[in-house]
Amino acid sequence: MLPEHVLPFGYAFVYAAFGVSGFLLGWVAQRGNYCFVNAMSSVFTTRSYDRFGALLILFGVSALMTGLLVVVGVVPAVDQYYDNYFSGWYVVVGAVIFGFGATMAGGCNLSMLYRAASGYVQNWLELVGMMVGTYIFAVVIWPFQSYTMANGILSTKLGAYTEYLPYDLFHSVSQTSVGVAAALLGVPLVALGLVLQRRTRSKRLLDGALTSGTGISLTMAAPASAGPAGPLPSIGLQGTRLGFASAKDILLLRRPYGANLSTLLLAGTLLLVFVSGAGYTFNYLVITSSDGGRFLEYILMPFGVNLALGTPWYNDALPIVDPSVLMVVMLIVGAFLASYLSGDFKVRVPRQRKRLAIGFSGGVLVGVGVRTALGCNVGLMWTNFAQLGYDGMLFLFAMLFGVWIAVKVQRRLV
Amino acid sequence: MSTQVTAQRFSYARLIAPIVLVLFVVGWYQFSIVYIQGADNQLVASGNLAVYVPIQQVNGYLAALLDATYIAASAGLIVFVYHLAKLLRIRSRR
Repeated sequence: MLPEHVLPFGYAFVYAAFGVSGFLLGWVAQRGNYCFVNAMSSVFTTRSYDRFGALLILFGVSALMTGLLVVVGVVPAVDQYYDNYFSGWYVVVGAVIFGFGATMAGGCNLSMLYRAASGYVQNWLELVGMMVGTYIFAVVIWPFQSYTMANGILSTKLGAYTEYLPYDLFHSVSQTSVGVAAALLGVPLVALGLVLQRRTRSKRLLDGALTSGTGISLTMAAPASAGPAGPLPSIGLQGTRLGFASAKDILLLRRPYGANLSTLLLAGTLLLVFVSGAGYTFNYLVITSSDGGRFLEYILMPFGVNLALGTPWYNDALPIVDPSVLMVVMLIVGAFLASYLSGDFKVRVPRQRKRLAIGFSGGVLVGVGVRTALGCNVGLMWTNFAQLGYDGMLFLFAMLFGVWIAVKVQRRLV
Repeated sequence: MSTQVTAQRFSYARLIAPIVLVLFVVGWYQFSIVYIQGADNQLVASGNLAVYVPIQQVNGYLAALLDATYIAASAGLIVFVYHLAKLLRIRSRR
């Protein structure tokens, strides 16, 4: 089956929707300081699951909402699974390299872009390193990788519905099977995210009480039912439960967004492109190909070099332009305006010059990793949860492993 | 707080940054018209249709980008004028 258009407005509308989505993505991520790598590394460094829980909620909500749109018939199932990736060794290997490199460099693909737009020089160099890494991937790894993909060596060969959980579980892409698969994937993720957040907040409350001398009474006072560490549903929505004063502060950019408010807004940006891009293009958030691959390609064009004419990967896997280009450009604009208008913008050069070298070399690893995995933490991991695939889970565990190694290495270096 | 201290605290980066934004978006639009279309045409000429993008898509990209450029450039100019007025007001008080 071929994808079907959901909205009849043509490519200008699709590109505009991706641009709006990119702007919101940059704005919200900057205001919420939303970083996948920080969320994961905090699990190993401070044992805090607050942000990691928010990530799991993001994945779960994305799966549930896209599944719901298919179930109620707004988006055909084919538009959900048509662009599902192949799966294989490269997802695991790439995600480990990416997790390691991004932790060393100090930012995932999303935070690299919004921090670069907020003036962090280390992330500028990470971006440059990522372009170099993408080129290394293209000429060194891609010829081998595409061979294994074409021949099914530790790789699936079809993609699309064969990577679609409703089909894998029920051999059907009916609305019922999509609904059940979305619930099976999304509900446990949201629940786990809420539980992890609750645990961290309870622990924080308890630690605070112990250090302030009221520890014994609070320990005995059932922390699960008190204040910020309350019952499950209110914990999950804590970030969105705003008083008028808080909402005003957030709107006037005096106060950053909470993790869960950011999560819900980010899920909204994904739904915007999921509906508007259906039938026209890859209707999910995707930022890797553009910033790593295309930016280098674009930079070289004024010098008369067109990588798409003869360089592997550039000449067979990277369209010269697609909606993600506008998404990335507007992400940068959105993040810049958010940081500028809130007073956060400042060109920041790290005091330790070696941080610049680490940023660049980490960026090279990020470039190699994300292209090897066929996508980044947004374009593959988050997106694949919304696609109801299983590559997102592979990527998540492999990336956690890469982050864990990087945390160990950083401890040795310090 | 004296106006002198306020003037000293005025960051010229706040004046320059919106101009950088305007130059970035206008430059990106010009770049897209000249180079992306040109590179796409080169692909057709060389027979590489794997990464070629149909003209309807390129036109859609340019149309949406033009609107985005107008909006972002306008926002940048408004912010620039606001900070310029702020700077001039501070200087006139000195």
